[in-house]
Amino acid sequence: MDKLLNSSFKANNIYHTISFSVAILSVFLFHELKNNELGIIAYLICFCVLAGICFIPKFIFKPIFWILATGLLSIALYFEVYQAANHHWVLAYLCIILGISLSFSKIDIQEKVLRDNAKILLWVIMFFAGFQKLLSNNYCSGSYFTYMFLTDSFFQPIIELIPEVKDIFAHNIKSISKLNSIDPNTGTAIRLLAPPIWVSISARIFAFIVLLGEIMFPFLYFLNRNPKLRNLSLILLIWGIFLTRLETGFLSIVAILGYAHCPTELYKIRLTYLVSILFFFVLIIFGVGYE
Amino acid sequence: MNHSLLKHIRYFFSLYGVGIGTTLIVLNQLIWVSDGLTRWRGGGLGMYSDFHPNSRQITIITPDCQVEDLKEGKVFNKWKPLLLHYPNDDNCKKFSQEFLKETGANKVYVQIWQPSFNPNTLVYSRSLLKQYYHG
Repeated sequence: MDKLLNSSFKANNIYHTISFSVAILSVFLFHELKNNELGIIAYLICFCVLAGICFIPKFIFKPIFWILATGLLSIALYFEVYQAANHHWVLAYLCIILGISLSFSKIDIQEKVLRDNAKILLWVIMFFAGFQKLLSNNYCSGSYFTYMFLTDSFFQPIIELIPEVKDIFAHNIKSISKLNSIDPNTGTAIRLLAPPIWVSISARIFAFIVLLGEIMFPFLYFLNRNPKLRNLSLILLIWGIFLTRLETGFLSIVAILGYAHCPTELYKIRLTYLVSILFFFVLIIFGVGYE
Repeated sequence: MNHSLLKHIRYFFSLYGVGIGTTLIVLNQLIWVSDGLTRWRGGGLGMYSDFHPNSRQITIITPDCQVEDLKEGKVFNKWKPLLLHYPNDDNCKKFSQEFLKETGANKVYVQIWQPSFNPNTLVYSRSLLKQYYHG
């Protein structure tokens, strides 16, 4: 096993980071083209992009490719600034940091710049994702979390295994849908059904741990100097968030950033990141989860 | 000396530029949130911190037309995403002006409702997030 890992992972992180970033960029591009009804232009753009990657593979290793990608994503974001999901923004940041790293000529400096940028970007993402929750009244009161939990929007892979709880949540979804067809000015209210108490308590504890992980993530870097523990905590956080909500698009980008900032000698952790990224990609391709 | 200084500045921005930029974007989004933007949008990384804008409802009341028919119109469908994501006075005003022009009505109430849920009693209803009158 060690021999296999050593020979496969002698390549620096930057090569795999670029490959996976191109893959997620392509998925995003094709998803947007399909949704925007551009007709034959969409087919032409798809063909050109695939042909470009196929016939000029070295282009993706030049900074200009990533600066162009950032430019196009920024234009798309400008027109949809109030409606674009957060992982579109994070994808743009990923493209920028790749462009910046590749602008240096020596590969070891490219690696260092990529690693440090990915680390800082992860700090900012995780910290503000947790911070925004603390600023939200609906989150702090438990209102939002309980609502999402009781309408089968959280922990779906686990709830699938408990049919009685799934039935309760399906009933709640139907009740809310019925209520939504009534004029809100009437002030009509309903009471949702709750699952067994042990289910609710477990869900709250798990969610609290994930929130704590998000906020503490940048501070863990200062408290603990062991890179293995730091990266393991990020992998645990990614999978914790995945079990809560199948956010395959966002988590694949976070996993790519995780891989980019991981020291090259931690072969097994790098392998875990790569397997996670591939797993999320497969789910995205088959339309499972929220890309 | 200048060349070395430029090199250091370039290195500083290469390492910290994106982090600083992302933080500024998040802080800017918090200003928009105070004006009415949903936490889910605007680059603030606020997903899953509040009810999703798609769980909101829009009600349009005008004395001149049937409420249900109004939602079939082009203007409503064009403005619906922005009214759900960013229901501030400015967007409500622009929507109302186009809506009154399309339907020929004289006045309109635009209401945006959001889920109101008590986690202790498990009672679910809708509360008025924004009401705008144009006439």
